[in-house]
Order: sequence, then C-alpha cells, then structure tokens
Amino acid sequence: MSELTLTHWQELVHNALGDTALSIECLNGAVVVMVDPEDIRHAALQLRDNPNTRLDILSHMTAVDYSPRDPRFEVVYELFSLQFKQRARVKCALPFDGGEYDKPQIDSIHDIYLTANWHERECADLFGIAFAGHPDPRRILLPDDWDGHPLRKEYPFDGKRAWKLGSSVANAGTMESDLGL
Amino acid sequence: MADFQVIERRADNTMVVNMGPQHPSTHGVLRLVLELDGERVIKCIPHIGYLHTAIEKLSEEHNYTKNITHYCRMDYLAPMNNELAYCLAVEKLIGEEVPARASYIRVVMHELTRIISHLVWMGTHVMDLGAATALVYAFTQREKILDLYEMIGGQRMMTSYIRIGGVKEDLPEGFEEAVAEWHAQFPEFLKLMDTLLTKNPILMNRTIGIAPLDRATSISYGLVGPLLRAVGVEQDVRKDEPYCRYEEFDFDVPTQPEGDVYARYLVRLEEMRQSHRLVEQGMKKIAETKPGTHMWETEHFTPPKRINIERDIENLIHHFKYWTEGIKPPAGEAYAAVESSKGELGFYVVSDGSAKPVRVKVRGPSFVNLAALPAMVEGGLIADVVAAIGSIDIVLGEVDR
Repeated sequence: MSELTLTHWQELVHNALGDTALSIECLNGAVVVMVDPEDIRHAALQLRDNPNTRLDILSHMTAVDYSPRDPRFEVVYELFSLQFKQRARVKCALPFDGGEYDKPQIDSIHDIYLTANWHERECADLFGIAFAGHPDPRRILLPDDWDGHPLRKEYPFDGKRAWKLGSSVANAGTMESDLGL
Repeated sequence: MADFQVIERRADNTMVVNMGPQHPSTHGVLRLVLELDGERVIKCIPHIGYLHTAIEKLSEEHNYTKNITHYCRMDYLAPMNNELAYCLAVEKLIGEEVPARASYIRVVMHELTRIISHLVWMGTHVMDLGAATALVYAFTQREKILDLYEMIGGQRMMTSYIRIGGVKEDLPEGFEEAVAEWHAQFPEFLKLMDTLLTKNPILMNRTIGIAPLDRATSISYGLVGPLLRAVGVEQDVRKDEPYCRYEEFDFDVPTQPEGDVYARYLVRLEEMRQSHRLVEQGMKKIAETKPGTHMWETEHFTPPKRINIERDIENLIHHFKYWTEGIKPPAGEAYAAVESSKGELGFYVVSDGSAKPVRVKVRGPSFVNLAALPAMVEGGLIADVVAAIGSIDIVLGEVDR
C-alpha cells in the first residue's frame, strides 16, 4: 500500500476539482466524487493533469440504471494513478424521463483518455446514452440493427424478439410466432 | 463469408480486406477489416461482439451466489481469476476479509491459473509465428495443472471453486504432494522453452520491433498487465493494491522497455517464473494455517456445513434459504481488481441491499487491450497483424462478455 492515506488522497482529489466536485466521500475504500455532467470534460482534464492527482489511467467507465429512481442513470468513471497508486471514481447523475428510444446525453472524453472510445461505444450500445462528440458512435457488441438497449431495466430479461437465422432483428416477429406457438 | 477476403479494390491501388471472424489466428471470433496499400496496413477496424452472451444482464437477474458460475466462462483460459475478482468485490461490499488459509489457497490457484493462461498464450502465439512444436509442450504442461484443478474443484475448467467468503472446500488429500511434483518439474519446461524460443532467430525476426507502442499511448489506452509492463511501466495490481495478502509474498514485477511483441513475450515468460515462485511460497503458508479454516464462520453469508445440516432443522432451513434466496450484501458499491494473466480484471458491483445486484460491470483486460490493436498494426505489414493479435493475448469470451 502506498504511504498516502485515504483521507489525504481524498483531500488532494477535492483540491484538484475545487467547486466542480458536487460531493466527495469514501465508499468501501474508494474515493467517490459526484460531478455535474456538464463538467465531466473539465473534471477529467483536471484529475489527469493536476500534479497532485495524476490520474492518468481510465480503468473503465460504465453506466448504471437506477430505475425508477430519479436521476435515473449514473455514468461512472474509474480512474487510477500510476504515480500515486490510488483510485478515484467520478460519477455523473444523468436525469432522464424519456422513453425506450430516447437518449440522455453527456460529453465524450475519448480524446482525454483514448480508451474511453470503446467504453463509450459499449455504454451507448447497451444503455442508449449519447456521447456528444464521439468520433465513431456505432454499436460495438450488438448488431447495428438491434432493437433497444439491453442493460436498461425496462428491457426484458428473456429478450424482446427471437432472432430467426438469416432475418434481421427489425422485422423478426414475436418470440411465440417464431417458435410456432 | 470467407475467412480472408477482398471486400473492395480501389482506383488508387489500395484495397480493403476482411480477416475473420473465423480465422485461426484471431484466437476466437474477432473480425478485422484491413485497409491495405500493397502489404502495408493503412487502417485496421476491429469488429467484436460475435461472442456476446449478455453476462452483465444475466448477473442482474441471478443472485450473488449463482453469479459466480457465469464469470469463469468469460475468460475460459483463466477461469479462477474471474471468480476471484468477483468474490473480492462482493466481500468488499460486505466489508469483511476472508481467513488467512482461504487467502493463501486463492493465491496458489490464482498463480497456477496465470501459468495455464500464459501456457495457452505461448503455445498459440508462437504457432501463429510458425513454430508448432512449442504448442505441444505447453499443452502437456497445462494438462498437469488442469489435473490439480480437477483435484481441487472436480472439474478441469469451470470449477466455481472460489466462493464468496473463501473457497468451496479445503485442500483435498494428496494435493500438496501433487503440487510439489508439478513444482519440481516445471523449471525444466521453462528452460526448454527458453532454449527453443527465446534466442530463436525466426521468432526474434518476427517479433523484435514489431507492433510497437510507446509509453504515452499505452497509458492513454489504459493498457494494463504484460502490455504495460512491456513499455517499462512497473504496474501490477498485486503490488499496488495488494489483495489476498499479496503483501506477504516475495516476487518481482518484470518489465521491458522496448514495447514490441518480443518485449511482451519476455515479460510473460518471466511472469511464469515468478508465479512458480509464488506457488511454492503459498503452499508453505497454507501449511502453517489451521486446516478447515477455508471459509468465513459468519452464518449470514456462508452455507452451513454438511455435518450440521444433518444435525438440526435450523441448519437445514438455512441451507435451503442460502441456495434459493442467496445472500444480501448491504447497499452500496464496490470495485475490486485482481492482476489477471492479461492485466487488471475488475468487477464493479452495485447493490441495493437485495439478493440480486443492480449492476455488475466487468472490466475485462482483453476488451481494453484489444482497443489498442489499430494503434499497433497501422503502418506495419499485414503479416505482422497476426503477431500483434497474439501478443495482446485476447480471449474473445471476455472481450464480448
């Protein structure tokens, strides 16, 4: 373990972010910061370039669907510092009351961390979150014509449609009709 | 679709070629679209998702104890690493450490798992480069470790041996001797591989200076594990954020400065030596602990012992409730990472206090590392694409999840 204590580290992260941090706390051994979705690019740049934090690795980023809570989505960035061997988790709450095909929006950070490119594509694919300024917003895991975003809570666990071999998802029938029931 | 097919010929003499998804050297179902100028790669676009099994969606539907069985199927070449990372994340949520014996057993299995994963990587990687002999030797060694897997968990691959709160069973009789036997003969194999491969001119020609990455790009791509260590960054989750009492163990983190395919090869070879050391230390430490302390004693989060189920009705009820309802960790979130054979393997688990997680995000090292493939191969020769893919050591089950 590095010599930095968690409280001291939390202070350093807080100093780097200043007013951008809406709240900062220690959860199960990790420093967790909430920032406004509008400020995510600013926060990421600050944390990466501030000499006291140097969070230069984006370990992963993802979203969580807290439906039916409001704000519904949370986008989570897990950062790691090679120099200080410490982590910080940055979270943005995304309010959303749209339907199945509407998308909440947040800025892309693909140019701050190159790895964010694929992570954001995955997030957009599975959660239907739009990343403004993303250079390549194609789906990544699912086929391009897939219907819906599976990791949203309203997406049924056993799937929406059966996908007949050779047919595209968009014009597949219901699961019962495809199975001949 | 053919495995290797020209999609488009352009007027300026460049062409677009499809490679995969069933090309043998893509190690699964990875599809690459390559834009070529003669033999030079101008652009590379990976297409993934052919093995998507929605494990993260499944995790939200099944309870915490059942979920363990999904994860060993992700990185099927290193099954126990996945179980370990998930269990550590849930234990972090609960906020309790496992007993020393369980930790040491986990370390031994973790390191053996690293070795079997590296063995498959080594065999298939050098076979891609034209040396078929090494594969046979590597798989012979892998079988020996899978025998140990079978002893401990009853299966050769998907053991689900590591459980929340410890490990499923204590070490079986004869396990120590079996490990000692394996341990004694393994250095000879490493020496053999060293003589077969390390200074092999064909291997060196095909790997030195190939698919290079510099330090800054690697960091920005969030590369981890052997790939990051091959650009000279000494990063290892086992050292930086020790779990399973790794701080008590003595081992080195090998690094190489060059950042090419050969450097990645050297790093992984040395890692196998270090894992070999760790297994011995782990077995010594296990011998110092009390047998039977391989699991939490707390009632809430562990199944009752077999002998107690037969003794009274309360334990029988607890047994049923444990396996049907599952456990209920407190609400909150936790991220736990382990140094898997391919890099940092992390689980981000969000709980609302019920028996099913709200969200389980798997941070798979293969997914992250594969994103850097275009940066490695663009500007190089098409023949080197195969070497680059092999050097990343991807498992598509983990990329697509």
